[in-house]
Amino acid sequence: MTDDNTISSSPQKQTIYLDHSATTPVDPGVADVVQQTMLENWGNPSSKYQVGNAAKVVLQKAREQVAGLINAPAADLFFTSGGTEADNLAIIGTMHAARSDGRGDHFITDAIEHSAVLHAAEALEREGFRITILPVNEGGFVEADSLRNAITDDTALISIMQVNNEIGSIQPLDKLVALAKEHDVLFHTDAVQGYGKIPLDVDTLPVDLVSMSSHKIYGPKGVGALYVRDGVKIAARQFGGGQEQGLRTGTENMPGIAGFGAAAELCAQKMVSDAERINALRIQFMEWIGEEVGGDLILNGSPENRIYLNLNLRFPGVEAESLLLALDLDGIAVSTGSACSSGSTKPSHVLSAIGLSDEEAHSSLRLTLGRSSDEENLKYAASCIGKHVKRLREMAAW
Amino acid sequence: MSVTSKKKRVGVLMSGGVDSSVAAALLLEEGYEVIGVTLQLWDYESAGRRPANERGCCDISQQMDARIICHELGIDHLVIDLREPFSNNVIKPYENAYLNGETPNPCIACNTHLKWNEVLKRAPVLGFDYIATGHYARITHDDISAPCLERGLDSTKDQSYALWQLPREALNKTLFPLGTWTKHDIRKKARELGLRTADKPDSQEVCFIHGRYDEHLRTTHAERVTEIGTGEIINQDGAVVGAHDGFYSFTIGQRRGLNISDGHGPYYVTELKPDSNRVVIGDKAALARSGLIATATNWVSFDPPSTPEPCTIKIRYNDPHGFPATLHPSTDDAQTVIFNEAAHGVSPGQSVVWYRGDAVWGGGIISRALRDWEVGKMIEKAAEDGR
Repeated sequence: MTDDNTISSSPQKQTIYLDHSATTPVDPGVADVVQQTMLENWGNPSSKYQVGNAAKVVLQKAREQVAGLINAPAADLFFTSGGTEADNLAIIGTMHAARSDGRGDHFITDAIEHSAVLHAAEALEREGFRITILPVNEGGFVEADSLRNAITDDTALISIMQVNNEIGSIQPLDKLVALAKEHDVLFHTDAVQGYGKIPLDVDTLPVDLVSMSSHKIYGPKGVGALYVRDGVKIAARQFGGGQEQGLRTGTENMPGIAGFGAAAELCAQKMVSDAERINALRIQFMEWIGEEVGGDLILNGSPENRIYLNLNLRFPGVEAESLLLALDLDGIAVSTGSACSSGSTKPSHVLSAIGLSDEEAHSSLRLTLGRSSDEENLKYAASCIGKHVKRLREMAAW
Repeated sequence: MSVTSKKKRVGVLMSGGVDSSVAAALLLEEGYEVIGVTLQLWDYESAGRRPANERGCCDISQQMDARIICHELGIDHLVIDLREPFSNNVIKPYENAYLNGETPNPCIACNTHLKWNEVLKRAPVLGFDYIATGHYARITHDDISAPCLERGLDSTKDQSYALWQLPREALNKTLFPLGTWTKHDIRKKARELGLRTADKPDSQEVCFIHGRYDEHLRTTHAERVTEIGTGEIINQDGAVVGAHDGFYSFTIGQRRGLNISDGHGPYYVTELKPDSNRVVIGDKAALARSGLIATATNWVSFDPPSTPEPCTIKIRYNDPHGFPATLHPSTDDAQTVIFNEAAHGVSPGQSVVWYRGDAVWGGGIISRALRDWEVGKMIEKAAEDGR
């Protein structure tokens, strides 16, 4: 019996973590910054004495670091409790402000967004807003024509993600945002999966709102941010002491924010080298898996315009849920879609939206690589995947 | 060649209760590689429940207890999502049984279809040499015969009744670490190990039902229930003596809720007539039956008899000892069981289990209770056939 409360996986077994789109391990340097903020810079940034000033400096530095990664002015960046809150604030807050200003009540998004966006859209619909959900093509991309056809005089906001969390498709934001601007419509992008991994520059891309999250970039959980272009009106969702310019009031999560800043800083340094190294590994990994399973596998989504760390593989005749459990016992962490997407055995809404049947969706596995991935652990993972896929296929009965 | 043999891997089915928690701990002490397995069997949606505070799949606290126990034991824990097979093999048959005037044993269906069939078919991929549960039952292996399913040593907790449907092949792949323990000692052991489940109360109710089962049916089968409507209560002579809100609210032997006060009671439900939506009542003597016919039989430890053979049977879960009866040879799946003495409360839909000594010989689902005169006729006919 353990007499302490430390959480660790079983002893003697090393985890090969292949679910970096779900979350990432906190970088040790980032963890140091978090700890330092708790133990040394523990002041309240709203206080007027020196301890408060020190916290204010930490807050400003983090704001600059997080904003800097998308080339945004620090003053346009608002810290939140995470990506979900950023999405909700952007969508619901903007739509409410638009309605009260008479700028329209129509919201457009697409079928493969994260639940934070889709469920926010449903909430708006219940409040009487009009919602359009755009389809995506089989590669997982929103087509400009379908967006153009959906925009009406009443359209106040369009929300289309930068990178999809399940199939890694990188949306053609250049085109889509330009289209929105032609019609003078605000544009939000949920950049949780792309932020810190691929470039996004709000100076050259005229997007109005960008959601970001810390724990997808080796930072702590429970902290995110929303970029709001200067002049864009958002109705606040909570009320209090006026922090974050009143847009997201409440005493700041300082350890989280400082850690987020440090993680963003690290991404700025590593973005290019991470992308090159992990992309090469991913290509090799897919080849190894193909060799191990005898070639019968399909890459869901598009090979082009896909984030470098994502593989979403379909193994015909294999129940992915069983594959996940078998790999877990080998110490390999993978996913079959969004973690606990809806609490039911329904297939992933993303895989359905790109045209997969229920059976195809249920035989799909998501593998997302990260900084800890290397040749050795991916080779081992590929051999385990091969072993289990073969065995599952032999058991044709199920 | 290496001399050290690899540890045998056991998947222990963990419900989050004290029994399965200790089962996992005992297997660890015995030197197995133990993996905790919790089955996700239902959620509010699949069970037809709509609580005010709807919660998703991740909040079922039983699962969390099992997970924490595994963490404390230092073993891996898996959750297998079996909501669909549970709905198809347990919830739907349960609902249909009541609507057909039968009384189901959902926990037995769950054991068979979920805990064994679904988990065993995944065993090769998960590398399980065995599966184990916290049932109070034993599997004995002697030198010559096949393994045999037996009662747990603690007769007050014996759960062998609920295991009669296990396929015979499963016995070689199953471990029951609690079979030789008493419940009292299991709780003591749990306390010694410091397991958080040590004093957790035993679960008593059907897990996916909250409150009364007939209320559940009114929610999940509203249309059918409306169609059934109200009906008559009749006595043994067929005379109408009262009214009821639907036969599915009654079970054989039930006394309460009849609302008949003619001064001659107490009355018991002796039969349900789903086709005419009637509930038949009578005095205690009218409940007596002399035998039964069981279908969907399974012979878990021994083969069916070729001549009439004595056995002990149990016709309900909470009957520690059972009573003596005779198994008659049959040419089809319908197994005739004749009681040595008349018995009360023979309910179609319930499981009947026949024992040879402590061994579970086999069992079936009661399809019909036999009255005295029916049994008399059968014996007459058998005698004629035998001449």
